[in-house]
Amino acid sequence: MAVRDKHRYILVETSVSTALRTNKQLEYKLYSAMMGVLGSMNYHKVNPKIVRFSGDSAFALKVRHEGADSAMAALALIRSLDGKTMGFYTTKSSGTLQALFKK
Amino acid sequence: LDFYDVAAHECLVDPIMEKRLGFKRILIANSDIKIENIDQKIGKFGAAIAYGSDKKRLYEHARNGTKGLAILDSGIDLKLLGSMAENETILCIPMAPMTTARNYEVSRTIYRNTKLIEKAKKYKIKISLISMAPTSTYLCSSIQLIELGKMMGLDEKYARYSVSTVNGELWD
Repeated sequence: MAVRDKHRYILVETSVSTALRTNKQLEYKLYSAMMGVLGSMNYHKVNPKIVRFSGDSAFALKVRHEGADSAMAALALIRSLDGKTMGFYTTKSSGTLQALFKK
Repeated sequence: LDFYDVAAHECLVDPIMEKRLGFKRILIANSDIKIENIDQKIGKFGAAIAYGSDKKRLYEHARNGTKGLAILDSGIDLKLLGSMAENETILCIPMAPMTTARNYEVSRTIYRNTKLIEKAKKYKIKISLISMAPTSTYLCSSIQLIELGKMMGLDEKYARYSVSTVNGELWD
């Protein structure tokens, strides 16, 4: 029987509007910044991926269940993206994407 | 639980922002809560929180009834911790030195704070987690404060207690 990874979905709000929705490079820069904080050895435990956007200043980040705590702490330590100062606030966390936006 | 945070006096926060970040109230330094930088001012007591790196003066503040102390360089001074335990002074851990630092400085600050928290727990000192954000960009949500606390060695239950009850005690 195949074992599926458990995931958590984190709602992340940014302090300013970003072009994350349209600019794929910027999305990779966010992953890269997270890797900088978490370290290459721990990045795989989080494995973040943006799965949905809500406006220009909020998005849902899918992370592995075991790395959800680290992902939220890592986002607190990232204060700039592509040379632009901005804050990432994790406001909610849920087991399903539907519940994340429903709450 | 009602979560509270403390931010620097230049930080602009509105009620919508407070709610978004999961706080009942974000206290602004020197308008909602009196905070004193002991490295700059000499002699005055009566602030809710005193912060600085001069251990002698922090010790004096602990003895004179200051509610919370923030040790800026996260240095461990057993005499100071003993006095804080005796006077039931809260140890404030500001996140700003971590969120505003770059590269290896972040890691160094996390390590030093972890060691400080470890010692404070042994002395049974109450620990408070505050952002002390200089601007709104450097604010943390309540969830992030809890996660940063967990990263520095607190268990989830205590981290929640820290951001809610202990931070609330600073304001009362």
